[in-house]
Amino acid sequence: MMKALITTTLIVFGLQGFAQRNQLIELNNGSQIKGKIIDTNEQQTKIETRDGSVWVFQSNEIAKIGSYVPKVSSTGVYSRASLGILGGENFSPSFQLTNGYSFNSHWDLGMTVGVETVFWDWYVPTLVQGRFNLLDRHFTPFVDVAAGYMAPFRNWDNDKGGFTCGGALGITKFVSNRMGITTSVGYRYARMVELSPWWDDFRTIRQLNRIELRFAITFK
Amino acid sequence: MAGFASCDKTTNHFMCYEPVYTDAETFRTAASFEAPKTITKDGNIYFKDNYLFIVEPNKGIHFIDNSDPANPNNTGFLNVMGASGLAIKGDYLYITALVDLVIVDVSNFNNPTEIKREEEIFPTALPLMEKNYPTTTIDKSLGIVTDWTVTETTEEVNDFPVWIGCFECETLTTFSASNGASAESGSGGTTGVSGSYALMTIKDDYLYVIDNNRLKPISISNPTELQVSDDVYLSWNVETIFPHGDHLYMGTTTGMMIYNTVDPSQPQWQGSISHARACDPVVVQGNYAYVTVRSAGWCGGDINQLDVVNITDKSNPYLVESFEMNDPHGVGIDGNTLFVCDGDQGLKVFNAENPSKAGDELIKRFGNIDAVDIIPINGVAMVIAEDGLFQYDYSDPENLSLISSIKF
Repeated sequence: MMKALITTTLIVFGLQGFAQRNQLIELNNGSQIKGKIIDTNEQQTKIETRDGSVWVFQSNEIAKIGSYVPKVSSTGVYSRASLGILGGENFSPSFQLTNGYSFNSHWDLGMTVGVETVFWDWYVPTLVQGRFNLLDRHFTPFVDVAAGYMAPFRNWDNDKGGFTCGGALGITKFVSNRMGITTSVGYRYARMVELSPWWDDFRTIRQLNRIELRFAITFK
Repeated sequence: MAGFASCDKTTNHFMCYEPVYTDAETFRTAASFEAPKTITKDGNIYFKDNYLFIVEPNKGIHFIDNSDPANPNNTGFLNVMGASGLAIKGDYLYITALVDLVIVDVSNFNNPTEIKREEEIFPTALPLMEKNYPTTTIDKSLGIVTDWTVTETTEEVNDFPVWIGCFECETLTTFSASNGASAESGSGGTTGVSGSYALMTIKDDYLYVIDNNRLKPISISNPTELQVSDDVYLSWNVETIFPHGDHLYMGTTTGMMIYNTVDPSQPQWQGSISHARACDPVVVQGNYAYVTVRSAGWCGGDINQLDVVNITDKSNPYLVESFEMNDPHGVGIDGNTLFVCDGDQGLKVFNAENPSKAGDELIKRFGNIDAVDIIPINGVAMVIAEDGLFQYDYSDPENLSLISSIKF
């Protein structure tokens, strides 16, 4: 749990730093300079770009000063890599890769594969994942639903894996036209079936309930 | 997340055996020889003096006159409650009947007569179980467990365990004494030949009965006054026993063990060879043991093969070669002809002239039976299968043929 908090903190501070460098000066000639504004007054404005250069513009050259807003494509394919932690009766790591398609600025549909542990056993979840982005903006809350199958990584004879489904609420922020970062909190259910290697006709069914905390990077 | 700590739910769904008790008086009703009955289930087989005996598990023994293997004649049924295995020496038939050992005079195969019963000689014996299900608690004060009823059980458990037993269940080992594919030997009367699924055999003047991890030597020098020696504790769970020469060969779930019978009342361990967890009937001929290693159900493991083991040095047996099989059960050998009952792949017949290549030298496969165990003797292979008794003529191994069958 402590690790998750530290990770969250680092990401929040990272985002703040990122936001400071995400300012934009539009010049009268149509040029745009993105960076961190380090000084501004009535006569001039200084902006430091990502490569460390400092540019100084006279106020009469500047048409507008504002924040950089990515222009994210509302349709097209996307890929998402996420790292998460599943918490409940035990804590376990989760890594997932999703490839999918954005039908419009709100609806995404993708296929997810990953690796996760349930107690001491590794599984490969294969999920169909749908997402509804609430806002038509580069920064939007979303609702996720997913369902699929947890296939065991080993011991196929006895461990049959099982159905899994879940939902999550989260926030996506695109930091460039093609890359966004996401954090979400959700719930996962799994119904795992295991056959006894010793007794005949002996099934153990485990119904798992997990809270899922996840961080992801999306490429569009 | 802490609130979720106890939200997982683990449920075991399983079948469980519940004991059916019979009072001692009823259980010990003298064995009676009745009119022939239809054989309903594959049990252990035994051959002596042209008679084939088939155990009807928990019920009794079918007597089949096999003088003409092409026309086996079911002559009668010996009703013995709890019967699971048999061995014959001279005029005496020894039957393991749950906790008792029953001695039957078979000087006349048409009129077998119970003459004695050694009571409670196998105190932990239980009826045969068709499936490997756990049992509920057994209360011996209620009588002798003579049968089972199967109940479907669902049980919620608290932990996230690897299941090792069932709540309030006791897993006493099933006692399934039977007779082995062995050419038994003895003085004071001839013995018969049994299939390879043997937990009971006769060597010289001793009857040896396996009870899970114990070997019980019983002197039968006086056939009606048995002398029971102390149990010999075996290190592994033993499933089959085969006598050869001065040794007893025992198939276990984890390997084959060799015990010498220098002191027949207390056989001593001499050597062993281990394999992965599986079931393994064994037969011996010359300097080689043929072991079928099977993985299924309660056998555990994940291998199915025929192992050929060199036993020239009984203290250091070693694996010569392994041959992949499908679902090998019983095994038998006569001369250079090796038989493997390979489950639903039927009966496989190999040329074992070169034991190290035996499994590669398939002569013929009879694939239309679910073969379980076999006695090959005098050119006739008697095969007990899931659905019948089948007999094959192998006097010419290159020209094997089915000569008769009795379907269950």
